[in-house]
Amino acid sequence: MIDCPNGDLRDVLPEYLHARLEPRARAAVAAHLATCELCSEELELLRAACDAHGAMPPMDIARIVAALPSPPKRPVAVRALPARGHRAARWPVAVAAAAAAAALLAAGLFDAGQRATGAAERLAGASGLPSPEQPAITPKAEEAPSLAVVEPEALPELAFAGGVSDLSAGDLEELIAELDAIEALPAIEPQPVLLSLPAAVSGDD
Amino acid sequence: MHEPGSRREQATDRELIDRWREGDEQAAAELVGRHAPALARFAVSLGEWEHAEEIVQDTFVRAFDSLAAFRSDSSLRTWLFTILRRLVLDRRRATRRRPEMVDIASVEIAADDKGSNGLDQLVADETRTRVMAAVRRLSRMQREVFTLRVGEGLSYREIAEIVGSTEGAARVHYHNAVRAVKEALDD
Repeated sequence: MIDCPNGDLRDVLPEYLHARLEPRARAAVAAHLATCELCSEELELLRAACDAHGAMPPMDIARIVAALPSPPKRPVAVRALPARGHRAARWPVAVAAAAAAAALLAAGLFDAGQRATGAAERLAGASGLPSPEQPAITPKAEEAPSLAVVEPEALPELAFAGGVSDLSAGDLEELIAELDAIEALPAIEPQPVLLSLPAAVSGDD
Repeated sequence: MHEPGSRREQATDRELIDRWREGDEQAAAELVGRHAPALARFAVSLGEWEHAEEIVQDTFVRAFDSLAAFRSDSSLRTWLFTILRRLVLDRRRATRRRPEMVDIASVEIAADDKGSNGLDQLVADETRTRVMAAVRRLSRMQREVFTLRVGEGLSYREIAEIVGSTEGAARVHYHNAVRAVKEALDD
């Protein structure tokens, strides 16, 4: 058995077989094959092996896809508060509003809506949460605001000292109306809403 | 053996992976459809005809469970081949089972229908049978390298990554395999 002495050309016969050579290289190999019986025979041997390799049992693609894990849960993106000097962050108000929404949901009175305003401030005071005038979170001065990704399960539980039962009927109606203006929160799984402030909370203005 | 899927308008593997991470389950189906046939052929070449689909399924499940560990500096197909190969070896160690080399004559082979007459087809079938019989007699490493090089057209670098070797060693294994197959055909 004799091999063609052009080892470099024999080395790329698989690429030639699979049409993965650049045009110039492909033309060079084709020109050599036209004059070299040894390489032509080797190419035919490779082609026969490649054709035989094509045999495979039937694949149920749908069944394979059905066995795959589900895509990862999309994280809840929470924007960090602006740096010192900016106007009061709305995050504590949104937290308070969400806490109020959770309380009303438990009471069967919740009705999702748009942005909250004064109602959240009243509840923030009743629950002991920092008021909007005192931002709950202020990043360090040297840190630029960044988009923090927070998993819902990682948020500590919110202590809600007050309650809607402390509100008068008029206040309650006003609260309901203002909750209609609550901006839709990032979509999360329908679980018991557990919201709380991160561990490092400092009042700063 | 050239797989479709390299057209410019089709999403790349990286794009499909990103879409799946964002919740697009159809992207997973596209990835499976794109790579399952090559994985199945490789499983068969390793002697796993009967369990090929199960092995391919396990390969994809492990891959999707570990997509965070997938480095973009290697192709997805190379990574999938690596997973499948390890799965086959693990199964063999667990069952102490020898590979089931399929009698190629009993397997339906895609025929070249471009102008072949009956006699040409018979000759081609006979050649394929003899070649595959010779490939089956190769050492395990030679057979894997030869199959990946000739059957899938992978580069020596990709083959080295899959079998856990070096490019130089992969090249040596390939040429030794070619020589062994030629000698078997000359017998």
